[in-house]
Amino acid sequence: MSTEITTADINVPGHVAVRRQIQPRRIELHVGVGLILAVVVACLVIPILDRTDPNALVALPLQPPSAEHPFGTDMVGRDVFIRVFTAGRLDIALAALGVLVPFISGTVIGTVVGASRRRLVDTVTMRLTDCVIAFPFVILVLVIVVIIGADTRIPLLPPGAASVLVAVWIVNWTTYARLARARTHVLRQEDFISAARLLGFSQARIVARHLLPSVWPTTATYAVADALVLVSLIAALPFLGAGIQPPTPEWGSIMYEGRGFLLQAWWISFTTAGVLLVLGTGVMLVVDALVSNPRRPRLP
Amino acid sequence: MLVVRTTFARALQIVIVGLFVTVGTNLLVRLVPGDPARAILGEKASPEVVRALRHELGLDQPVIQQIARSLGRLVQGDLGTSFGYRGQEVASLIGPGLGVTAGLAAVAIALSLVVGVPGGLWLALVRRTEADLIGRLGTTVLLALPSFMAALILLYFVSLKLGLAPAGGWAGSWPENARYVWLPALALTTYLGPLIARTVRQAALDAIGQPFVEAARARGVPRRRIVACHVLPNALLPVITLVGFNAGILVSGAVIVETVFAVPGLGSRLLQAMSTRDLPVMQGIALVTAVSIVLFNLLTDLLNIAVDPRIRRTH
Amino acid sequence: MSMKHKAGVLLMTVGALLTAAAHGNASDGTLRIGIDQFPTNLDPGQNPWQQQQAIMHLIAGTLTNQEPDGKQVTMGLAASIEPGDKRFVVKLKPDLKFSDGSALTATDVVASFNYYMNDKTNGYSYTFTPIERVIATDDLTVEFELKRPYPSLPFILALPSSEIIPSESIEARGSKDLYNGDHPLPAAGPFQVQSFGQDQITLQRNSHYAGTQPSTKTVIFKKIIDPAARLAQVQGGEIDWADGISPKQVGQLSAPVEVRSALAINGLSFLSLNNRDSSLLSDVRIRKAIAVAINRKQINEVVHAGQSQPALSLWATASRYSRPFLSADPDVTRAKELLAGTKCENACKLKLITSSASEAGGDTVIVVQQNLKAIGIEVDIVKAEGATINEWLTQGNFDLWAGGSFDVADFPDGYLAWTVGQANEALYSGYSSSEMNRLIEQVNMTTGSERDAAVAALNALFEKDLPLVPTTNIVSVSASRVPSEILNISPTMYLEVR
Repeated sequence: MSTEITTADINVPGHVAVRRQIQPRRIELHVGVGLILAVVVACLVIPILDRTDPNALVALPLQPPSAEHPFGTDMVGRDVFIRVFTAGRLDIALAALGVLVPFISGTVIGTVVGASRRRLVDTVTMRLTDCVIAFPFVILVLVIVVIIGADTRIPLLPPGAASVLVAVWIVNWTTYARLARARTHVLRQEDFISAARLLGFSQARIVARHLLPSVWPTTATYAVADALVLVSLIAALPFLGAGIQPPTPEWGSIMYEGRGFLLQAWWISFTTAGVLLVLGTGVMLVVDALVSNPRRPRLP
Repeated sequence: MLVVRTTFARALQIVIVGLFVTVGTNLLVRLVPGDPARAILGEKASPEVVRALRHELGLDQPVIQQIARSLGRLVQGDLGTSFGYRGQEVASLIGPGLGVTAGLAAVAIALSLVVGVPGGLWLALVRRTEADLIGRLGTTVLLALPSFMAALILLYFVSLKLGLAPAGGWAGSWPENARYVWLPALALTTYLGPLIARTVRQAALDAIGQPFVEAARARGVPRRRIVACHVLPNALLPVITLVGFNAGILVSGAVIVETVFAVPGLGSRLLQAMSTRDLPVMQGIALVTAVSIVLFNLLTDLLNIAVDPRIRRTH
Repeated sequence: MSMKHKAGVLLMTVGALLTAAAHGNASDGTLRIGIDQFPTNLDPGQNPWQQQQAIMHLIAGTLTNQEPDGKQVTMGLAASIEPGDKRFVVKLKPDLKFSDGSALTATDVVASFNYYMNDKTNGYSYTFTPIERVIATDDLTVEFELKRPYPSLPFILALPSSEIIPSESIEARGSKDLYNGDHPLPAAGPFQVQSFGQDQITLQRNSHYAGTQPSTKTVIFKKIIDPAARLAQVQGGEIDWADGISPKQVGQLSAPVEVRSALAINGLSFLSLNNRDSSLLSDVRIRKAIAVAINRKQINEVVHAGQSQPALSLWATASRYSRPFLSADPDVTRAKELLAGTKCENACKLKLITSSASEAGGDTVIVVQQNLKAIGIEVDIVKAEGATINEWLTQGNFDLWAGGSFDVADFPDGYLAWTVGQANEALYSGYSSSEMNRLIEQVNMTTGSERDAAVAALNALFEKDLPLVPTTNIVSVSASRVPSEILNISPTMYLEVR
C-alpha cells in the first residue's frame, strides 16, 4: 500500500519529535486549501453547467484542444474536458471513502492496543499488521476484485469501486493503527493520563475521553496525504486489469487509455495529470503547513 | 545481546507471516473464479478436454484437499510445479524474476538515496526561501504523479525523443543490464526519491532545532561541520525506517514499471501467472514477495539498532 | 532540487554512452519480435492463442503447408495427397529429416497422430474426431482412415497441432516431459527452438527443413505485455516487429517503422448475444433490432481507425462462404419497428461485458452503447479480466459480449462449431438449433456445389435466427522496421518469416 511516512508521522522508538516553535505557515495553508477547493468546485460545477454525456462520441478522435473541446478529444472522440471533471467527482469520493474508514478503524484500534496493558493484545495486533503489510498488495487487489466480483456495486459508485475500496480498507488501517499506537505510547507517559488512571477512570473512558482526542490529529494529518496517494494508487490499477474500468470516467483510466498516445495526443493524459497535480499540490501544501506546526494539527 | 534477541524474535515472525501468507494465498487463489484449464486450452477446446486437464492438474478435487496438499508440499520446501510450464518447478520459474526485481529495486533505492538525502538536506538548509518552496512543490508533483505516468513519460521522452536509453528490455546478465536498468530505476525513484527528500528535510529541521546544535553553534563550530556531524546523522535515521516501510510499495510499483519497460521481473511473472491462472506460480510469487518484505524489514530494524544508540537504551 | 537535476543529467549522460555501445539489427539475419503472449510449453495441443500459434507455426513440420492467403494448402512433408470419402492416402517426400538429422518416416507420422488422438488433454481433439485411424503401409505412405467424409483434412494437416514429431521421443519421454521447452523435441519445421524462456524464445533456421530455406537465420521472440511498450520498443529500435498494436497509434509511427496489417480470412469480431431464456435477447426481434442499429462503419472508424472492414455476414468479407445481408450503416427506424411489441419497445437495460485485456473490445462497447442508446436500449458496460469473462459467458451471466472468433484458414468446420454449432458452449451464446447442426454437418462433409448449397441454406438460417451480431472483420495491426518480404502478417494471422 502506498503510504507516505515522514518523521512527524512515525515515532521511531526513542526518537521523540521535538516541538519547535515555528510560525504557522498561513500562506501555504491558504493556498493549499484554495487549490483543493478549486478542483473540488470545478468537479462539482462543470458537469452541471456542461451537460455533455462524458461517454458520448462528440467529435473526431484525437482532436487537439480547441474552444469547443478545451482538453481536446480522446482516442474514440469523447470530450476529455467533461470526462476529467466528471471523473474528479468519483476520484474525490473514492479517496474520501478510502481514507475515512481506515482512518477511523485504524485510529481506534491503534489507540486501544496502545493503551492496553496486556502484552498479548499488542503482540497479536502488531504481528497482524505485519502480515497484512507483507501480503503483496497487488495480488490482494486482484484477488479481491475477482472474488467480490467486478459487478458487485456500492450504490452510486460504478462497478469496480467496491473491490478497490475493500482492498484499501483491508490494508490501510494498519498504518493508522501503527501511528496511533506509537502516539498512544508517548501519551501514556504524560501526566494527564497518569492522573486519569489514579482517579480510577475505566480503560474505555481513558481511551475515549483522554487518548483519542490527542491521538486523532496525528493520524488525521497523515490521512490528508494518504488521500492523495490513494488517488494515484487507484489511477495505477487499470494497468493491472483491476480498478475502475473504462468507459467510466476516472482519472487513472483516462490517463491509462491515453498512455499509448503521449506523442500523438498528449492532451488526453497530460490535462488529466495536470488536474491531479493541482489537487496534489494543494494537499501537500496543507500537510506541510500542518506538520510543521504540531501545536495546531487540526484540519482547517 | 539485543541484536540477537531481535533477530530471534523476527525470525519467529518470518515463520508466522510466512504461514499466514501461505494459507492466505492458497485460500484466496483457489477462490478466484476462472478455470486454469480453460485458460491453457483456449475457448475452443471441448468441455471433455477441459475436464480431462482439470483432472490432470488436480483441480477436480475439493478445495480443502488442494490447499492441504500444497501446504504439505511447502513444509518439505517444495513450491510445487507450474500449471502452464508443465513439469517445471515454481522455484526455478520465479527465481530469475526475483533476481531481476531485486536488482531493479536495489538500483532504485540507491538512486533515491543519492538524490533524496542531499536534496532533502539542502531543502532544510535553505528553508523558508523560494528554493525551499519550489523544491517541495517539485517533490509534490512527483509524488502525485501515478507511477505508470512517470514511467511512460521517461520512456517516451528520455528514451524515444532523446534516445538516451533503450526503450525497455533487459540484457540478462549484469554489467550489460546497467544499460537497461537505469531508466526503470529512475521511474521508481520518482516515488521514493521525493519521499526520502521530504523525510530528510523534516528530520534535519528537527535536528537543527535541537539544543545540541545550538550548543555547537554557540561554541563556534563551523556550519559545514555542524551539518556533517550533527544534522546529517540525525536526518539519516528515519530514512532507514522509511526505506524499510516502502519495500512492499517498491515491489508493487515494480509490477507497473516492469510492464512499461518490459523488464522480466517478478511483476511480469505475476501478471502472466494471473492471466493464465497458474495458481502454483501465483502462490510462489506471493510467498517470495512477502518473505522478502519481512526480511527487508528485519534488516532495517537491525540497522536501526546498530546505528542509533537511543533505541538500544529504550529497549 | 538542483542536486537532483545534476544527478539526472549525469545519469542521462551515462545512459547515452551505454546506449551508443551496442545495437543488433535485422541485416545480420536476425529478427526480433515483440509479442504479448508466449507458449508455456511446446505442446501444439495446448497453445491455442493466436500469438502462441504464430510461434508454434514456425517450428512445426506438417504434412501440408498453409498458404499465406489462407485459401489453400501446398505440400509440406507430404509429396502428394490423394483424397477420398473414407480414406486419404499421403505419400511422404523421400529423405526427410528432423532438425537433429534423424530420418522422418511414415512411422513418425503414425506415432504423432496416434499420440494426438489418444491425448485426452489435447485442445485440438475436435480436429481429430473424424479420423478413425492412421496407418503406415510402407516407409513413405500413410493412410488416414476416416469415420465420415472430411474434406477439410488437408487444412487440418497444415495446423501446428498436426506437427510430426519423432516416434522415438514419444516412447522415450512420456507425456509429462515430451513438450518441456527446456529440452525441445527435434522438429521438422523451418525453424528449431534454440532456447525457450519465459521472456525470450530464440528460434534458429532448421538446416534439415524440407521446404525453401528462409533467409532469416534467427528469430528472437521477446515477451512485451503492454502494447504501448511494444510500440516504444519498435520505434526505439529494440525490436524489429511490434506485434498487435492499436490501429489508432499508427499516426505515431515514424520512419523507418511502418504499419503492417492483415484481415483474418476466416472469422469476425461480433457481439455474442445471450440466446438463453434468462436474457431479454432470447427474443429474436430484439437481436435483429440490435443488428440493424449497430453502426459498423463507425465501429471500423473509431475502433480500428478504418483499418478493418464492416462485417455484413456470418463470414469474413474475404471468405468464399460470405454472403452479405447486413448493412454497414445503422437504420434506427427499422430497428425501432423491430422492437415494437417486445420488452425493449420503450426502454430496457442490457449488460454488455468485455475483457479488460482487449483494447478493441473496450472501444467497441463504447460505440455499441451509443448506437443502442438511439433505439432506447440502455447498455450497462461491465469489464473484467479474461478468465472472469469466460466464467460469466459459460454461466450465461451477460446479455451481450464484445468478442470474436477466427480460424487460420478458409475451412468451415471449426468456425461454425464455435459460433453457431454444438461446440458453442465455448463461445457462449447458448444458441442451439438442430436444424443448424444438421446444416453444419452437411457443410462439413460435402464439397463443390453440394457444399455451396449447404452454405447458402446455413447462411439463410443464420439470417433468420441471428444468434450473434457481426460487427467488423478481425484486423491485426503491427509495426515493423523490416521489409514485408522478410516478415509480414498474413490473413491466416500467422507471422510469415522468410
